[in-house]
Amino acid sequence: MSAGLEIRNLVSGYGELKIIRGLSLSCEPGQITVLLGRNGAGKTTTLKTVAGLLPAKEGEVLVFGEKQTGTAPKRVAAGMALVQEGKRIFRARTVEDNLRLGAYLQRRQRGFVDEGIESAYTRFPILKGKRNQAAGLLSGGQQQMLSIAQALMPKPKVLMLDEPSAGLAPAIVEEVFGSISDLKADGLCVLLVEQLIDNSLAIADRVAVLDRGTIQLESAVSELASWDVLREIYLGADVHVEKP
Amino acid sequence: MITTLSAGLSIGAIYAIVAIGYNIVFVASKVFNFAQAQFLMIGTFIALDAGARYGLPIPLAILLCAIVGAVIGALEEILAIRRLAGKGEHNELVTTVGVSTLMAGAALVIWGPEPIRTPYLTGLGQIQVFGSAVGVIDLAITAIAILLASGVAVVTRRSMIGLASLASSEDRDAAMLRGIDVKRMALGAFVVAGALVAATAPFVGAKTYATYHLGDGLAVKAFVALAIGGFGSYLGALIGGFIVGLLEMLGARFLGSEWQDISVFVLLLIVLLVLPKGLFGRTKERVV
Amino acid sequence: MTVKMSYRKFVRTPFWILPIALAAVLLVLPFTGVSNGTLRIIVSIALLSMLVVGLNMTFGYAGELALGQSALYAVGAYFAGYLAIHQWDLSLTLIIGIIAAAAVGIITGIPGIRLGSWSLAMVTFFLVLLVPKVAQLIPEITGGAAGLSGIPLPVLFGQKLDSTGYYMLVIIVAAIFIALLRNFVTSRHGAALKVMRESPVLARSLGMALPRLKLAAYMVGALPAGAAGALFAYQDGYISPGSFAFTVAIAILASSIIGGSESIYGAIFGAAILTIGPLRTTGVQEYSLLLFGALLVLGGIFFTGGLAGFLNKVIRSRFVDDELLPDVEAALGAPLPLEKVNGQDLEITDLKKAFGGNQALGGVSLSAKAGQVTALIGPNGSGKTTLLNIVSGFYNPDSGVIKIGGNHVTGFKPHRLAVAGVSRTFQSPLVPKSMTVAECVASARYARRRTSILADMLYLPSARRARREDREEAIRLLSILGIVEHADRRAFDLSLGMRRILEVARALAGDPALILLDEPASGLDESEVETLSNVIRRVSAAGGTIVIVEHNFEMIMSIADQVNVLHLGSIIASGEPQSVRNDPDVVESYLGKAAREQLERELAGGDK
Repeated sequence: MSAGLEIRNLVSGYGELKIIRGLSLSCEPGQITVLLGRNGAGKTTTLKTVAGLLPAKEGEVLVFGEKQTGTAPKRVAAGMALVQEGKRIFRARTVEDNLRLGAYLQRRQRGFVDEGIESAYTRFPILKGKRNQAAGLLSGGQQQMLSIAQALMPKPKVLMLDEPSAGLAPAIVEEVFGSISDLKADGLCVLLVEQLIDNSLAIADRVAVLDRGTIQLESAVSELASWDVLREIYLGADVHVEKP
Repeated sequence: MITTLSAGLSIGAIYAIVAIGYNIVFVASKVFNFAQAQFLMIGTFIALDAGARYGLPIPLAILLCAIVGAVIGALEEILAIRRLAGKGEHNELVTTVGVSTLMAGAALVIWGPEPIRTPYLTGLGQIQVFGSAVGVIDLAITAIAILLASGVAVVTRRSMIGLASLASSEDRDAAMLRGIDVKRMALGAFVVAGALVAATAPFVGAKTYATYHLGDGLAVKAFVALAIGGFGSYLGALIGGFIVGLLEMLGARFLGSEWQDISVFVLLLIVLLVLPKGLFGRTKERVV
Repeated sequence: MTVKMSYRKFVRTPFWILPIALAAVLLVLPFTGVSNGTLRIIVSIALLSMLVVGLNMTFGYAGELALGQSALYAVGAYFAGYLAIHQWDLSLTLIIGIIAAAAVGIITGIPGIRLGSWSLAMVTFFLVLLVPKVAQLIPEITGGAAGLSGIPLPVLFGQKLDSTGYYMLVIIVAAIFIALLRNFVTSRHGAALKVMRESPVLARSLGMALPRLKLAAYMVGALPAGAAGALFAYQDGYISPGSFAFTVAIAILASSIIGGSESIYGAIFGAAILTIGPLRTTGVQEYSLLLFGALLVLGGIFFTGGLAGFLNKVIRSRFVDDELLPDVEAALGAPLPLEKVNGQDLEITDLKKAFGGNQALGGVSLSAKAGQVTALIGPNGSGKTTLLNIVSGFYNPDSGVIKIGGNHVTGFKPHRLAVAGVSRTFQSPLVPKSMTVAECVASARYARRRTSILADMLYLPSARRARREDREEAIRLLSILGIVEHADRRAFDLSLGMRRILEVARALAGDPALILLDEPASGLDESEVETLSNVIRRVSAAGGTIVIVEHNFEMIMSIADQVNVLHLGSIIASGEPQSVRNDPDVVESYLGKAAREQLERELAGGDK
């Protein structure tokens, strides 16, 4: 059985800069994998490269065994979805138009689109009441929910999220993470990049840590015994815990 | 006075038509196509040939103009604009001014320097409106601009393609992540804008005649219309165009014809410095 | 395989001899029996060169889409023509023409300070279209649409000039302006324009006042246009609005593109091609628009710096070697230690900043002492970047006090802060594309040591001294930081790690009271981080005040004297790196509660 999302030896960066230097990771359907790492380690670069916004210098990306070599729109057609950080919805358009745009590739299948909109409202009821409002008028949390709902419209097989908690109040983060966790039941492959470690590990099945351009640690969340490796990655090598 | 107003509206309508063309391209590709006005200019010559040489009825002439406009628009995007990706506004300016000059140069070589009457809709005469004589052609052109603006506005807002083009100008990456092929949007925009602007030529030509340097002043004044109405707004382009046209005609009537362009220039300066977003605009023109 | 010329010889070759020789040859031509028609063409090329060289100031060097040269041309021509009809001497009409054009250039440049590029371009195009309308407005002075006729033959210092005399005058005036403008662009003002074009943010952080710089470019660019106009008025004794039509503006732009917009000599090439070209192809003017258009499109797409840029690249790569210049070699052989850096203490008290509903900084206080490296760390959204941007003047704080060396600098704008001694680097190194490493470093001295535009244009001793001192200082700093062998390479060609060090050198060149480093290690590999860390340590050891925002904790551990941890807009820990690392609050902010609990257990269980 091929993994839902498989990344092999990815090398990527901006210009001559190589930020990712041989990253390999795979995610199974029905599972949430959380990708941790310091700022500037390349988590966003990884997601952008996998989604096709950034060209990979080397390596491969496969969705259920199929190699992805095209630009972003083609990968969307193949079942990949990326929710970027910063709530990148179309603020000048209405909530419902945003959802329709999410299903742009299926725009001619009226039934499919309408059904998708209804499920979005079922999943995030707050959006239904605002369906004709400009998306820019929504609160931060609502915009985040809209961006997830929008990405789910084409019924993707792989969903990637980049720091969905950014800028959200703790209670809203709980709500959003709850919705993300529910996606497991739909058989989606979820790759979650996050800074909030507590919340992410609560819903994730696997954890991977990106540092120095590759994956330094990968394991099932249940098997994560000690925090030392993580502390070392984020806060530098332990000299020795000084005692007075 | 009514005559002045109707003349102002119809001149303004011509500016609005070009401004609408600017908008269509700008919304989908964030490129400002200085050459847009030349599509109207080329259209008037195509209309000239369609009527005088081939004796086509006006609907076919409109179609022919639209086709030529679409083809030139496609050529412009594929050969010139596409290669500009990420090179900055300097290059965009130079290239679109270059295309504009090329089109004018081609018209000059093919049809010569003399302004020529276009054969369609001449001699429509005048009708009485509130006791003043108003040219029928003026009313027709004004109506066309209003139709065009509303038509494009509706299609943009209601159709998925229109929505997708608005989305891609708002956030290119986000649009791509939703499956929208931003590059094809840009090509489509150039083709549609070229076709629509050129298609109005059989009407506009009756008023402006066909002449190779029609485009220069048009390009600049249509920009003023856009600055007033706001980049990205079709209603704004229409109203902006009317304001410019009316100001021109009123200026000519009350101050003298030399003051025509000067008053529009002053208006441009005021609008750019005081109202950078225009009346209805959502984006300020990119400030580099 | 050609033998390459020594780079030293290349740099010392007085290339300006070529234009002088050209001018000398041209001056002699009338006496060699060349036809009047040819002389006329040369005059046209000379006048067009002056227009193009002026356009290059604003368009090529300053990067402003100000394309109204032909309007300034008209101003010069009408002023001079009118005065000439009233029997004024050419020496005076020429000067008045120049001043009038300069005045109009500055006035029309003022809106340009605030307008975006297309708006500016359209306003200037509109100006060009207005020339005939303005002429029609005051027909008593300008002759209206029919034009101004009856301009007498030029009278210079009381002497009547025949056509030969006029020709020689045009050549001399053109040569003078080309020389003046070349001095201008090779001076610090030219460097400042290049920096401004590359990044207005960088320019402001280096202390350049943008409005003033832009207006200087507009003024300098207007001078040759006015002179050209004044001379043009005498050519046929008649000028009309048609001579300044839109087509002329297009021709000027096309010449600039073809010759190379960022070049002085390129203007001559371009002008020559665009004057002779249309005349050669079927001899009919009909095709000139096609030619201009094609050149513009090709130039816009393959904008490689025009003919001048191409020649420069070819000559440099094929015919000149990579030899180091004498001062670079000397510096390489005897690396200098870093002397004293006059760092000042930074004191921030209760700084607050909110963006809309988001409180980015909720009352931050910290201090950075001279001779120390103070680090600022924290997760995304913690407010580090906001803090840095406030201290460097790009944001205004809502409340709070910032003092440097005891002096209040709260709310100062970036260029004022630069003058007060604040230097900063940026996350992506901002390095102008067409400058060498040494020139980049020297650009920081622009605001601290001023030279006048006039002195630079005339290449006065004070200007020459300033240039020499700039170079000496740049070489000195590059040598101290260990990258002097790259001094004359294009800054753009350096690796990322080197460019970061270059930015530190640039920061030092302004004799900084405070150096702000914004994530300097991002994208660097381990050895580059090591090199950079050494540089930073040396600067702080010499007395510099360094504030560094970073994510690379190893680097912080090895260089920071004090670490401040920001989280959601407040400082949650402050102290030495090791203690901060083991602070439970810090661990929780990065890794969450579970990690914190483990640490607390460790700290508690350690006591035996």
